[in-house]
Formats: sequence, C-alpha cells, structure tokens
Amino acid sequence: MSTIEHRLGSHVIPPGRLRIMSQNLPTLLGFSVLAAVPILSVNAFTQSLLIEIMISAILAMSLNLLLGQTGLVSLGHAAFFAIGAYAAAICANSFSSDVIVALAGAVLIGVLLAIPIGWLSIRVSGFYFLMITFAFAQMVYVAAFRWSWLTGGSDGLTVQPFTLLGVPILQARSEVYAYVLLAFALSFVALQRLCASSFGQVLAGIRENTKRMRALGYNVRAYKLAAFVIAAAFSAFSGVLYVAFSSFVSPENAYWTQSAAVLVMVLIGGAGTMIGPVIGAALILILQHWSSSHTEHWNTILGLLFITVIWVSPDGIVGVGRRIRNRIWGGEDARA
Amino acid sequence: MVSFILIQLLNAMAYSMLLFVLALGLSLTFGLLRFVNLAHGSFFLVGGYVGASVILATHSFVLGVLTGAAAGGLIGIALELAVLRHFYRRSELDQVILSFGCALVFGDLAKILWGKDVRTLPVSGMLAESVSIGDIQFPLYRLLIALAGIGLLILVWMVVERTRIGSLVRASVDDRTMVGGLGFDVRLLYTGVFGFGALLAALAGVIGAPVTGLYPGLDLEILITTLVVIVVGGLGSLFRAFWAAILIGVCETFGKTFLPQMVSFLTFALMAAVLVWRSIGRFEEEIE
Amino acid sequence: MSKPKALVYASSHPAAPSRRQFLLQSGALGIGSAMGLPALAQAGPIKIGVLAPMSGVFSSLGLHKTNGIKLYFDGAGMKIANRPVQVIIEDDEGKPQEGLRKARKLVESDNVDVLLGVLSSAVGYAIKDYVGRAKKVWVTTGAAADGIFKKKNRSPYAFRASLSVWQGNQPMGTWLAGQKYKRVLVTGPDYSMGREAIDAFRTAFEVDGPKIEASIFPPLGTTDFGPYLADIKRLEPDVVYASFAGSDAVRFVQQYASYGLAGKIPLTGYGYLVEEDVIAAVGDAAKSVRNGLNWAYGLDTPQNKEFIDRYRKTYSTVPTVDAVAGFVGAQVVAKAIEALGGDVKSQEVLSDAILALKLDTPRGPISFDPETNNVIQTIYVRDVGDIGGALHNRVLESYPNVRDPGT
Repeated sequence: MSTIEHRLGSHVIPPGRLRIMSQNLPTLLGFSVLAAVPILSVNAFTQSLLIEIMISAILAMSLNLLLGQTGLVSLGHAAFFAIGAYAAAICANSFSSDVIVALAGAVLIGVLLAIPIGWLSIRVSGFYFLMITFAFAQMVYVAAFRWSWLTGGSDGLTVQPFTLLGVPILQARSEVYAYVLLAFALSFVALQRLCASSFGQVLAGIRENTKRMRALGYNVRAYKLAAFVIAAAFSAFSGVLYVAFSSFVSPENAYWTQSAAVLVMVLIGGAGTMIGPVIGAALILILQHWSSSHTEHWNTILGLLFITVIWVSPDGIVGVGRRIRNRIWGGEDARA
Repeated sequence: MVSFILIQLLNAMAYSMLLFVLALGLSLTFGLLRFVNLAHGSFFLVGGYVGASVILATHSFVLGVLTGAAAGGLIGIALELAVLRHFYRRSELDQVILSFGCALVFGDLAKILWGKDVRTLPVSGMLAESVSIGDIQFPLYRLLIALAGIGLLILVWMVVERTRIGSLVRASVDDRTMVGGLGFDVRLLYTGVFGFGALLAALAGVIGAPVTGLYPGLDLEILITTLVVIVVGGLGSLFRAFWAAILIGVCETFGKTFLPQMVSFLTFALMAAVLVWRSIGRFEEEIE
Repeated sequence: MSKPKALVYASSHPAAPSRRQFLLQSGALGIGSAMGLPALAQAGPIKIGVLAPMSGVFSSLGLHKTNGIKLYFDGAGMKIANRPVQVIIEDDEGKPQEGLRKARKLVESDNVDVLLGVLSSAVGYAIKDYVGRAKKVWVTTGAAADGIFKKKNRSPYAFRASLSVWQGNQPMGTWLAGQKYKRVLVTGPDYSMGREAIDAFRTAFEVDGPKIEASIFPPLGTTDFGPYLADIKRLEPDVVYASFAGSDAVRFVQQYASYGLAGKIPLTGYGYLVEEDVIAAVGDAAKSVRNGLNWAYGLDTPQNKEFIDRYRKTYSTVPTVDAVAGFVGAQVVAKAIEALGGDVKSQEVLSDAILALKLDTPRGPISFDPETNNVIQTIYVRDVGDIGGALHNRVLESYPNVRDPGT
C-alpha cells in the first residue's frame, strides 16, 4: 500500500490566529520578493533563471494535483508540456502569431489529447500507472522526433515572435518576467483553491481509500480523469509559457527524463502542499545549473539527493519544515 | 525469399533471447522480492565494462563472463546490504526513486572509471565465426546468445522451483515471519536473491555487449527496453517474460523490414495496449 | 551519440584541474597595455565562452572539442594580441534547453566577448536564434545541419567553422559516381543528419551516375542491424553508402563485418562512419572503407603533423575531426581578434573581421562565405588503412574550396 497516504495525512495546524498568518505569510512574502525583481533591475540572466523556475513550478504544481492530491504517480507529465509547447510553436509559425490564440489552442489540444490518454491510463494504478504514462509519453516523444513535417523533427522548431492584437509582445526579458510571474501567481492560487474545494477533497479521499470512495457512490474514474485532464491543461499552459520565453522547442522536452525531473521536483519539495513543488522546482533548477558549471558529475549529485531525501524525509523539504514547525509550536498532534 | 525469411526468423530469435536475458534479472527480483529495481541497467553496464576489461587483459571470453557476472553479483549484494534492504516495506514509488538514484550514481562512476567513449567488447576466435545459412552468413555469436537465453531460462526456473533454496525464497515472500520462525535467516535469503538478480543482469551485460557496445547512457537505454519486456510479460513470471521477449523480438525484427517508420512507436503502443487489456473488467487496484 | 576511442583510460580526463575555467595569465597584465597597442581601453582578459556537451550522449565528442580549443590557446600562450585570454567552458548536455540557459549565462552574466562551440544541431538552431537577438558573435565548431546556415537566414553574428552535412557528403557523391558503380544502396539513421547526408550524396551522385537503387533508414540508436543487413544482402547492391555516426557507426560497421558483408559489398560513407574513434573501437572491420570528411589523420601537411603530435602528447590519445574542429574554431576567433588588435568592443566589427579571414589550418586552407557565413574548405576522400602500424584515415583525393550553396 502506498505510504503517500500516511505522509500527507498529518498536517499540523498551529493554534488560533497564528494559523492564517503562518499559512499565508510565507506565500505573500515570496510573491512580493518575486515581484520586486524587475523593479530592482536584477541581472537579466538571474531574471531568466527565475522565469525558468516559475515555469517549472507551474509544471510541478500541476503534477502535484495528480500525485499529491489524487495519489496518481505519472511518469509522463512532461509530454503535455511538450504538446503545449509544440502546439503554440506551430500556431505561431503557421497560423496566427497572436498569443491568445496560441495559448487557447495549445491548452485545448493538450486537453483533447489528455482525455483519451487519461481515460486509458487511469484503468491501472501504482507501478502500472507509472508505466502506462511512461509509454504514452514515449509515443509523444517518438512523434515529435519523427514527424519532422510537423515538428521539425530532431532539429526542433524555432518559434516566431508572438503578437497581441498585431503588436509584438514579450520582446524584453522583464516583460516576459512580468507575464510569467502573473501566470505563476494565478496558477498557484487556482490550484490551491482547487485542492481545498470539495472537488479536491474527493480527490484526497480517492487517494486515501479508493475502495471506500467507490462504495460511497463516487464515480472514481470520472474524478481521476478530471484531475488528469486539469493537470494536463496546466502542463500545456506551462509549455506555452516556455515557448514564449525561449522561442524554441525540441523533442528533448518530451523525453521521459524530463517527466522524471518534474516528478523529482514534486517529491523532493514535498507532495502534500502547493508550495512543496515550487521549492522543489527552484532547488533542482538552481542545483543543476550551479553544479553543471563546476563539475561534470551532476548525475552523482542528483542521485545522492534522491537517495538522501527518500531515505531521510519522504515528505520532502516541506516535511522537514513541518517537523521543525511542530517543534516550535507544538501543534495539535505533535507526531511528525 | 525463403532464405530471407529464415534469416529474419533467426535474427528475431537471437534478438528475443537477448531481450530475455536482459529482463531475466529484473523479473526475478520483482517476482521474488517484489522490489522495483531501476538500477538494473547499471548492473548490465558494469558487468559489460568489467568483462571487457578482463577479456582485454586475459584474452579469455569465459573468464570475462565469469568476472563480469561476479562483479555484478557482488555490487548487487553490497547495494542490498547498504541501502535497499531498508526499503522492502516501502511503497513502489519510494523504491523507484531510491533505485533510480543509485542508477544515476553508478552511471557516473562507470563514466569516471571507464571513460566516455563507445567501447566494444572484443570477441575473438571461434566466437567471431559466422555460419553460412543459404547465401548469407549469420554470426555464430548471435546463435550462442539464443542458446544462452534458453539455457538460462531452464537453469533459473530449476533453481527457483526445484531447489530447496528456491522454495525457501518463495515461502519467505509469502510468509516471511513463518520462515523466520522456522529458523532460517530471511534477510540473508533476500540478499542472496537480489545478488543473484544483479548477477544475471551483469551476465547479460557481458553477453550482450558485443552487440550493443558499451557507453555512458547505455544503462538507461537497457532499462527502458527491459521495462517494456517486463510490463508486456507481466511482472514476476519467468515464462511470461520469456514469451514477452519473443513477442517483442519478432514484432520488432519483422517490423523493421516491413514497417520501418512505425517500429519505435509500435513498441510503446504495445506496452500501453497490454496494460489496458489487463485492466478490462477489473478495478485498478486489483491488477497484478 | 558517443564516439568510441582506443582503450586508454587516462586520456578521458582533461589535463586542466578546473574544468570550468581554464585560465593562464601570461605574466603581468600591464605589459600588454604598456606595449602601446592602440585604443586598448579594455583592461582585463578577453573572455571566450565555450558551449560543449560535457555530459550526456555526446560527451566524448565534447571532450575532444574542448581539448582542441584548449590546445590552440595553450599553444598561443593563452594570449591574443598580447591580451590574456580566459576560456569559460559550460556544459550544454547536448540539449537545447540547457544550451540556451548556459548561453544566457555566458553572455548576460559572464559577459563573454565571443561564443564558441556547440555540437548538436538542435542546440545549434536554438543558439543561432539567441545570438541574433543578443547580438553576440558565435562561431560554431559543430552543428552541421544544413538549415542552420542558409542564405535566407544569414545572421551577421553566427558563423560555422566546422562543416555542413552537405559539404561532408556531396563530394563523395561526385567521387563515387566516378567509380562507375551501377547499383548503389544508401542507408543512414532516420533523423535529420542521417537523411540530409544521404540527400546531399544522392543529388551529387545522380548527376553523373545512375539512380540510387534502394534506401534503408533504421531508427537512431538501433542496437540490432541484423534485419537491415539481411535486407541489404537480399538486394545485392554493388556498393553501400552509409551516414551513421557515433555508437550507431560502431555497431553498424562491426555488424556489417560479422554478417559477412564486408568482403562482398564495399562499404563507403560519410566520414563519421569510420572516424578515428570508430576505428579504435572496431579495428579491422573498418579497413578499406572509403569515406569523405573535411580532415584526415593522414593528411600530410606540416601543420597537421604538428597538431597531431601536440594533441597526442598532451592528451595521450588520437585526435578526431571534432578535436580539429575545436582547434580551428579557436584559431578563427583568435585570428579575427588579432586582426582587430585585441579590441573586441564592437561585435559587428568582429563579425566583419571573421568574414575577412583566410587561414591555413591543420585541415587545409579555409575562408568564410559572406552569403551564408559557412566555412569554405577542402573535403577529402579518405580510406581506412595503415599509417605507421595502426589503422587511420588516409587521403585518397581532395576537393578544394567546397562551398555550401546555402539554398
């Protein structure tokens, strides 16, 4: 039986008014800092790194909807990122460079593909779900690689600049930063709300005890499919943002190692909350960038990180933070 | 045309057996221990590299096979003792993450020890011969791989089903406490099984290396191929892995000739199709 | 795909202790400015940013490339026009996403004066687009896809000092047609490089020769070529032309021999099929394979001999065409900056300086085509044979001044 249930169950809430503050303050602080970055004229490269982190964070949060909330561990999530990216790129190159059109089209295509893939995938669970999502993701990769008439094949696609109502936009780095920050904030709030809603609670119930939910009369498969499709939509959305930022997409964006990287971001950050994947995304990206400049052995570092985190703190970094908070505040149930 | 079909059948058989030998170790580990070991490809790679180094130094293929396989077994045992044994009761996801982390570290170590270039495992003397079939020559080595595959299937099956150790292992999977209560050291049993699985993977590495070559990244490629075979065959059964390997080998070999554009796509589609097929009429938690 | 090499261990490890920054200050910084070089308001070293795959499937190629680059600057005393040179090497992992990130870092954070490197064509497309927007000169030592450097997408900031796939294969088409074969079968990996190579070969071959008999395109990364080799045997062509590279090349050449085709149907191909590292891995299976590339180990010029000598002494291994590419790329950058007296303030002026270059390199003479910014160079038809007791590529024929049409 998966121990995800055991991990996510214990959420310690400190008493009284402190609760609201403690839950929302770090988030608000975080967003304020991010918003201040372009104002403070931070180095362009640092801005680009933050943009990449935010895009990866949206991708990781969307996977969290599947993984942390519903208990579905997918090894194919980056496929929808790639589908969104390619759809937006092809739209900008061949149909319309309007960013709204590209965005809507890409998310729509992501959703349309997620429905059959999801419908088939949710019929299995556990390791098999991991494998079937992997299989579908690899099919997307092969398609991206082989259908060069559509995707540019192994060489990838350079994307024409986007426009809004005929006017070119997203030309300057700080402009891209502002839009991505907005998208990130909206996604964060939306996904958090979703998880807190009754829909999200049903998903949590499915995660905890699928049989009981089914016995209670919920259409478990419908809920799982809905979660899958919503997650895919956000994933495609992050793909569009990526293309707007880097103006390039290639089959590597769909390879299974990208899906694995997102999975790792969620697990290392902590699958129980929305802030966990964000932390995970930031940590992995910064670590990867920094260590690959100083050593060739980035893989060893990453591998050791996996081993350490999964052994010491399966809850991820958020779990560590929670345990520290328990110590400070005591909390309602002090078992970490 | 007849000899062409015959050659392709031989190709398919040889390729299928290579796939089976790859999958054997993982199938055993998962079947007996219920442990998802994603470091499987690393054992393959290390076995291949060690075997290659030994063959280069001693010019003895047999010695290379033995040392390569032994190296894999030893590393497997060491890994199990140090890290993996704490994870038998953890969820599959945790096992996946842990073993994948180990795979990354091993892959890097191999790169440090043996370099980044593509290496070949030299096969000389009788093994490098070709037999004439029809008007084409077929490498003798491929036939040997085919024989090795069948031989290993029988050998491993006999060990698992017909020896005392095998029955002990099977019993301890079903009821660990009881077996422990009967006085057997269950932990040692598990270590032994895992080491055996790693040994088989490394053996596959030495045997397969003359065909695949040896280079960084091969471990992950092998892992994917193995996972496809295992998933199609159904985790945990030796014979089902055998038939899965044959199915995939035949489809791919003939696919390469007649449907070259679709081959890579078809393999993954097959994987997904098999999984969906198994799920018909069952709730998702119940699928074995 | 990784490139094979002889079974020598130590050579894989770069000589420099810190991989990232290879910095050798040559004596006092002040000497340079005191020499009275005009308008040298730029104190500080000339920064050259290098992008290469140091990890991932292309890592052994990336290593050769950076070795070549370091060898050049080492030989120049880590100086250009009396200004010290700082080479910053970043790992692009052979992936566009990482390559772009590192390019941004080099250009926007490290403020390099010029970019050098890139091997994978996908990364090449991405970087070309980026340097156009960032207005930073980039000389690539790889990225051979035809489409990156065409007339219609020429950018003043991007240059290719290596070769285009067209350049590598077109002369072989002409040469093989002259050999009067009747039935030719072409084969290669099914992705852009493999197909572009065959297209270039086919177009040239079918001018004077007969139509290509058949074509087979196995997927990239095929382990078992058995079925395809059986197909080739069934079709019985007079000669086979192949565009495999890396581990595909190692497996194809080896299996070609073990299936008994080596003696019966002559094998020819794009130079990467039997480059020095493939020869080291497959040995005799590569013997007598005729192939075409823009360099040959056996090229008998004093410059090449000196290059090979120094490379073998420094890195204890045989250089490959990628090492030469790195070396020549560094040479291009150095000579262009030298022509400007060490003043790299204007990227546009640097771009013009590169266009004006005519250099003698270990590969032979090179210059740049102003319509495409692609290099104009000699292509060699080679065969694999004995040089000094070991198998290497020897020159059979040369085609000078091969220019990619850029259409």
